[in-house]
Amino acid sequence: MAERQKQRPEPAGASVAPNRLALLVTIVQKGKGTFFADFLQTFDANLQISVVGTGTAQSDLVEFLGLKDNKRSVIFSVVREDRVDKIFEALQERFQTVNNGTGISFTIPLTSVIGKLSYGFLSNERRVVKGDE
Amino acid sequence: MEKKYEAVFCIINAGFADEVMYAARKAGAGGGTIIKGRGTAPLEAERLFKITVEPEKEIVMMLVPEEIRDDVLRELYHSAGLSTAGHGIIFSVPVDRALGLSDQAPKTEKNDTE
Repeated sequence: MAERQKQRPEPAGASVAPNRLALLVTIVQKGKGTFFADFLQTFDANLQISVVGTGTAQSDLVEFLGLKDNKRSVIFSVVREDRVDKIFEALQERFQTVNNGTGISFTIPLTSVIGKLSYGFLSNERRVVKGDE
Repeated sequence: MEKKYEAVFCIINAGFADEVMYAARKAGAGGGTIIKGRGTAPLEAERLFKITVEPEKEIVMMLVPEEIRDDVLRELYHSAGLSTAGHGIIFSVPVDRALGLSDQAPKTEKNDTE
């Protein structure tokens, strides 16, 4: 055991990842889900989960008359925290310019991830691809 | 002007999402998004207590300003908590940044969480 530890010494600060991760939640009209998922992929978001949701109607009358299409795509993406500024700038522009592309987006900080390979995948850090320790 | 938000989640039996939104709106929340899900519970516990955990769930997700979070949680607890028919589990998570909300300035804003 001691020998094993000697062979693979734990470097100082090894438990601290170089870039923190965040869970980015983006809610858009249902038809735009694929567009925004592809768009977010260009910001190193390797893991994205898209589910269908329902928006809540603003008023009972609108809901009763069925005037509003309330189906939504909810995209959960894991992104690097240092990319969030650029992602939000780009999303803001897309929300304003894409036809029917308005949406809501927010980030929730992730506190821990275990596994170098998992972290590498989530942060698109390709240097860690040698092995999962 | 910076405004902090929190994401409030309510996991509740299917069909009760409207009650959740009604309660949340009473406490000042805006809109929300409902996602369908399936709940699980230990089978042994279900047999032992002779109850059935309704597997069909709805997850109601809403962004609320931090200052009304406690009001929203309290209202949801009384209207849709575990002691009600909906058997709702309610929790909130911090939000670093939010974009696209109707009460927000057009420009992105950063919440100072440090």
